[in-house]
Amino acid sequence: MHDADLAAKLTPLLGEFLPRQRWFGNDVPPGSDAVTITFLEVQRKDPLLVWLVVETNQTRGRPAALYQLVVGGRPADGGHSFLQGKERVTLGEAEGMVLYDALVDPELALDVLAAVAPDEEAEVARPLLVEQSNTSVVYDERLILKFFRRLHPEPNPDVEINRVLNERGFPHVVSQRAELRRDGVDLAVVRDYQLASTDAWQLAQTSLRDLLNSRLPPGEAGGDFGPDAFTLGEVTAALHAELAGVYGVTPGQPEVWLEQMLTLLTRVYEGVPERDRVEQMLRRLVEVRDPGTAIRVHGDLHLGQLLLADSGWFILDFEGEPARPMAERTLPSSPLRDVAGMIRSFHYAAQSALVDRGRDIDTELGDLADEWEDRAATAFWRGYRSVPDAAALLPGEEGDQQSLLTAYELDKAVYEVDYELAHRPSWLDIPVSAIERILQKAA
Amino acid sequence: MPMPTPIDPSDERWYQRAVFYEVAVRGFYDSDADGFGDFAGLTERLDYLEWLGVDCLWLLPFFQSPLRDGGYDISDFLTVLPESGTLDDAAAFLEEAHRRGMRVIADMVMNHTSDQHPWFVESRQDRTNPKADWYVWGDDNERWSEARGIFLDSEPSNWTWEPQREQYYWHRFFHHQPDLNYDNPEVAGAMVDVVRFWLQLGLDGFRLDAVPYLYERDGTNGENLPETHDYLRHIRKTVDAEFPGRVLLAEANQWPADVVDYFGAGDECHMCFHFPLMPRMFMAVRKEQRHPITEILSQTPAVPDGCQWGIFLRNHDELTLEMVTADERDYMYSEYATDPRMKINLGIRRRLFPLLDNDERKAELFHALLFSMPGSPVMYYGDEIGMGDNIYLGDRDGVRTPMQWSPDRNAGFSKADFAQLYLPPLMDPVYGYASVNVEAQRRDPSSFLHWLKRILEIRRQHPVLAVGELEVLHAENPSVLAYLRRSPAGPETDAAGKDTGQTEAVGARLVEAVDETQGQDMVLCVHNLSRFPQPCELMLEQLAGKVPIELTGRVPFPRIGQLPYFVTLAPYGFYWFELIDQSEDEVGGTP
Repeated sequence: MHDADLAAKLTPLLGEFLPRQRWFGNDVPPGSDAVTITFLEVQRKDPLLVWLVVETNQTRGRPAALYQLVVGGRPADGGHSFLQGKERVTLGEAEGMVLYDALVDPELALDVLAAVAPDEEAEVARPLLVEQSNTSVVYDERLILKFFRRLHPEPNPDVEINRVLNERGFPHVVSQRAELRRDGVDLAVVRDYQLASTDAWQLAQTSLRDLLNSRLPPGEAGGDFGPDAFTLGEVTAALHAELAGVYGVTPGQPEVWLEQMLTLLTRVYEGVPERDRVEQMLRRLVEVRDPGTAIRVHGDLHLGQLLLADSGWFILDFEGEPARPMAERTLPSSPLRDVAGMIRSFHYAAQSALVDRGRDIDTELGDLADEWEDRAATAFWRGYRSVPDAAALLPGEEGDQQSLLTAYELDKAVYEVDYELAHRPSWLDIPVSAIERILQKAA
Repeated sequence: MPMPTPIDPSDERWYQRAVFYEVAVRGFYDSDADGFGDFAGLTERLDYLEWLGVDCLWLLPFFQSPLRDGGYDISDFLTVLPESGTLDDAAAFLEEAHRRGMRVIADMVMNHTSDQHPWFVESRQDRTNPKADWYVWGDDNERWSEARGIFLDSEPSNWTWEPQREQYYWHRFFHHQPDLNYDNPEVAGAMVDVVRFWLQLGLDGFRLDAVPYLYERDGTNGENLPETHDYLRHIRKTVDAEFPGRVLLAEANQWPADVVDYFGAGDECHMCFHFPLMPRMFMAVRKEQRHPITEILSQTPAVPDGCQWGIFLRNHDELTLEMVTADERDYMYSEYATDPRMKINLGIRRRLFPLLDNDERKAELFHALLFSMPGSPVMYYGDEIGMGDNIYLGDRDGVRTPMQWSPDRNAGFSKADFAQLYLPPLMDPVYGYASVNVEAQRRDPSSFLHWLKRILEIRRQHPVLAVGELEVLHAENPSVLAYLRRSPAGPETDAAGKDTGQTEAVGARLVEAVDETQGQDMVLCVHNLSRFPQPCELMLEQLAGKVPIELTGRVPFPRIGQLPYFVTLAPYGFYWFELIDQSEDEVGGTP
């Protein structure tokens, strides 16, 4: 098969395949002109390996976008038992070959590693099947490949920040072993894999499980999350101090921040009465005497981005909120934006534990979950402010700090409404009730 | 009962696979009705210990002593405390233990003596007597202020004034326990002679008490000094030359990176206690998360060839919290010492079962961890039947009450009058001897005691649990702790599944010690640290094709394939799987 034939075979299959992938954010109407394929590399061997970028056309108001994938191919009559139960990542058959996402092929996944990190050797590949905006493969329980799906012409901040923080010896990011870039576009990175690590979301759920069963005050329950939350505050503060050192510190610009918040608000709540109340509150909250500083921040910090490994806590994923434009993600922002992200995440953790147990059954549980959240948020905030270099970045007065923090919490909750509407409508109540609560508390 | 197998003197590395049982002679069995356990009593109860399946007894100090610190204040190293018997009794006990294949080590207090030891009685008289330099004297009490105090609750300073001699003497522990002066070659020599004396009598080794503190030097905290290590090497050399196969077990309550120094290059102590692991097991189970355990394991350096960790759940001391951070200590206190009376020094003076809320499932889990993590497990007498404690007794006596043999008078421990007993046995409704005793549990086939005996048998059949390498496995669920124990560098253990033929060297000796008929032993251990059922997916692709055999029932589990291996665990449940190569047609049945 020539490249042109291959492209002709793949295009209709991709039209079916792409919308099934969670990392795919565009619409592809059926039809062969929906996507444009560019081959980065084609290895005509057994198994076949095709590395490609697809460009989706602009559809229904969504801009054109680039996505990366590797397609594997093996004879349809055998040798692909690893595809069992993985229909979602199978493209289909063409010319006696079964075609699939090559990252699930233990052999081809090693070829991908060799292309990204020629200096690393591995023997066993284990694709992580948890679907996120990117795809990861673990090698020998020692290395992890992060294969970017949505590609951007700008440098990927996840790659850049991780590298820069490595160079500065910052202890809370994993070591980046190799990067793959073509024409300035970041395609993949290979990092150290933290064996037997757990993200803070799971740890928080463990803590809440203990709490809701023991029904003790959160500070007395064995699974108390307070000390962990304090440490997370310290780690976040250390990150901010480091980022301020690398990317510099500028005076805070509340009017710019407000503008960003209102843009999002308008998009999400257009025509909804809540919109006005939230807008008034945001306007009031950002009117502070001292806005503190603006620095480069993580931008999408939540419990799932913090990993506890045997060697300590690691911060993951510096890509920023995927729903925001890349250019906006790298703009300086108040450090309180990340703090608000964590405080919202504590709320999500507590509410999600309650939902699991049926929160309407028992009001005592709701009170306990609220106490858990307060305790975690307070401990986090204490931990954060215990790091002088980070505390110096905040507004000087506590009232201003609280005011801006509340504004960012509100902003984050609006973002969550947007996300839940698109992905998990049954969770919508969590951010909606949070907005009501924040409005009442701040009023 | 099978015929006893006497100990094999050619097995010089027995301690790497042994299960230790810590026991107070005074507290085990009283043969002469004086209210005090003795060697003759201990000898009478060797049947029980053999039945249980322990390999080595560790005797708490049984030497002549005023007993102001549980016998760790020795006033004559070469005499048995009269209440516990005579030297002849001790020798007869050792002979009887050896005949049953059991070894015996004893506590040896190197650092200090009682203030009633004749050496100190002489030394304190004036500054010129022949023993004047046998202890550490000083004109002021300011020196070595960097040294930390151990008994914080009772000793304000490490110096105490001696009016006769008009000088201060140095003591790391209680003021009635003056530190010996190892800079004096006569002292160093005299203590080697003490070691020789007991090995000559038949002891199989020593647990060296408080070993980091032997020397003092200006500008240091006096712990882990090079001089101390030099002296330990000297002792080891003597033991190896004159008494091969005997063991030195160091009590060095330090971080793993410092403790490994007591192994030296395999030329100091054979064994060291792993102190920081123990509190982290309690933390992990209380938090229902494996991280406290995996974190400390990852910080634990490999031990030199021929060495082994000693690991334990509880012992005769407080549950020591010196090797945890201040936050972790607060956590442990709030979770495990709800009554302030339970705290002492930097620790918690409670026994295992009360710490675990008397929950047998939890106790089984803790023992499963103890018997499968790297190291030789050290049990504490009474924990095998779930004895409790008495926090109203002074110091650490609450965890040192008499062994509970039966529901009879004085727990079957002694025929003396109750008031004569060295400590009162427990009589409360939950842990008292009426309900918790050996006799009842031996009759009850589903008792904890029977479970423990069974699990010890299993451990004995799988030496890889003692000497194999540890490989922590990834499990998404933080409440699950899974690891593989396997002998190093064998043909089947190579990650690629290729035969590398590296069974030589270290491997060869281990494989030999392991089951010869099956070649490589490999055990997969999966533990649920939570009180709720938990699912767990294990990534075992590199072991694809092997069949896990659950070790308590020998039930084969589904063969490991390419997909994640899925197991579900009951609350506090655990599995130990032997991983074997078994072809499809080898599955049992009549031909």
